[in-house]
Amino acid sequence: MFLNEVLEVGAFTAISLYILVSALIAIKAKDSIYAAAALGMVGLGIAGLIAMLGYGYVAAFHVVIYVGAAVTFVTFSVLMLREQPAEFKEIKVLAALNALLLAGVYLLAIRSTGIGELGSVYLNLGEVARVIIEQYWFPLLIVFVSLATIMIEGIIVARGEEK
Amino acid sequence: MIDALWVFIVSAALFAIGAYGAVIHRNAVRILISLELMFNAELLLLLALASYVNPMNGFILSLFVIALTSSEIGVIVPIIVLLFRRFKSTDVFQASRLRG
Repeated sequence: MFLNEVLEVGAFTAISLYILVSALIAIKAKDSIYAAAALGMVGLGIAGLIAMLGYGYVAAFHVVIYVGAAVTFVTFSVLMLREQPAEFKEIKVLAALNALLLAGVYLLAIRSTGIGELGSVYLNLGEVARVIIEQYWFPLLIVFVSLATIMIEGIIVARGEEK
Repeated sequence: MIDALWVFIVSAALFAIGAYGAVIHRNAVRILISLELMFNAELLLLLALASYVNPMNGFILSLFVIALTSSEIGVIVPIIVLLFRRFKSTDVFQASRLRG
């Protein structure tokens, strides 16, 4: 029992550090390809934490759809846009202060919810699918329309390239 | 069992890093990457809060959010590619030249 808790805390700490270091690489990397790859690493770490919360299926969905498709798409698109990253050097200090303040306000707001220890979640995928189809059919329709729009947009952009 | 505070701290730190990146960069790709870091922070927070309040709704909402964010990337990246094709740069200040 004690060993399980130590392993859980150790895994959480390791994944959290991995996420934060990857996030720093994503914003500080000189080359955008490394930044996009670091974003993929952040996505994998977040999926790990999501799995630790008990949402195994969401973690798998995040890895397949977000990291596997979206971030890979960004990475390959960046290959076409070779360019040095430009930064606002003069407002770096202000931006850092802004980020710190934002993190403080964010934490205060969340802590006001009074949530203590997180519980583990176990959901039946069949039950989730039933609820989505019966109660959330309209958002599902919007997602389908959005994905179809993306496909049409992709075709239009590709045809523009031919001209 | 992990204390929720630690999850919130990781989420807040990731959100702050993303906000910092979104403010200092001029390159549209880097801004998009920073905004995606903020999205990841929010997704973690959503599921952490949902596990306490309503796991089923959190599960379903997160599926929709991930799918729509992937769609959003599918919209923004081609726009950036088109911007680069026209101006040979992804500097967001070049985009204002698109106005009539």
